[in-house]
Amino acid sequence: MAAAFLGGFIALACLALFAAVLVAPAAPGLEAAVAAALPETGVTNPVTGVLLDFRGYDTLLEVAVIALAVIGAAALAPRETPPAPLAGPVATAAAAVLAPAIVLFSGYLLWTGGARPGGAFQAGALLAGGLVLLEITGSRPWWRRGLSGRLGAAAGTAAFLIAGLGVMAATGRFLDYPGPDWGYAVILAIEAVAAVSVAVALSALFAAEPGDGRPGEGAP
Amino acid sequence: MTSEALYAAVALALFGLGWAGLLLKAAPLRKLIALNVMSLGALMLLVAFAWRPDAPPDPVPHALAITGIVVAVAATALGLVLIRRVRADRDR
Repeated sequence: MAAAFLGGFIALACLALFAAVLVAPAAPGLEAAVAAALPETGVTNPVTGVLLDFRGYDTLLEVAVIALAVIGAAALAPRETPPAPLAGPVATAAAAVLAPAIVLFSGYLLWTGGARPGGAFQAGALLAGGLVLLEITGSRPWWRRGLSGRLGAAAGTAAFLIAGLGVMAATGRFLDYPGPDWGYAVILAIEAVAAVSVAVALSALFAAEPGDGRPGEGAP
Repeated sequence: MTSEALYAAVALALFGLGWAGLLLKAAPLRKLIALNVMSLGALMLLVAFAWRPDAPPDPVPHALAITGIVVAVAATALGLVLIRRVRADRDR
């Protein structure tokens, strides 16, 4: 009975929201402002310009959120025996064939993000898929062991902060890139480090092992 | 019905489904999946708002949606670890 009430209430609320969307006056978006300021950034893909330049603070904190999630997962993960790797001939061969292609294509996604859809997060997510593939087929990656994994997950935030402070030397303002040429170089450098860092962080979140790197030990 | 209205309708349907699942399902994993469906609806609404009839879409909601997806992935991963931890401690 209560469930039916709640369901009905949610349905009504969503219908009301839909009506609000339909009658809302057409508001001008920010595309004109973005298009006017985009030449200053050095990139031609407006989404990348918004993410890495106009809303740089937001993206910096977003990368920090991923690193925080890795720390939280390492602190909370229970001690369990990890599942046996998927070590059959098909899985290992598929991983061997796919891994180089995934690395290549994620590099392409990173590069093309400056002008077309793509960028650090897309490249990082794809690369993370490759790392997970290697991991479930039994090659325990060195970059996740001990300190290197933690440094890898934090590298994106660190690179973003260093770049933001570095451009202060030229412009006097945090994350305010100097001109199109330098802006493009700084954005691409941040994105390259962030992509690898996001990939390492996402694969660490996938495995979700206790932070001391001894998953099976002391399991109840 | 314009594309924007169709996208908004689907987005709000997803939002409502996720909302109902979050409130009505007891299992933590179901709640987490429902929360993801709900946040997907919210992000889809942002994409619908960015649509323009005869111009490229507004890039700002698209950038917001990318940020939202990344944060949702991180939050989901942390939620899954929490669920595993609660189970492990209860079974001990």
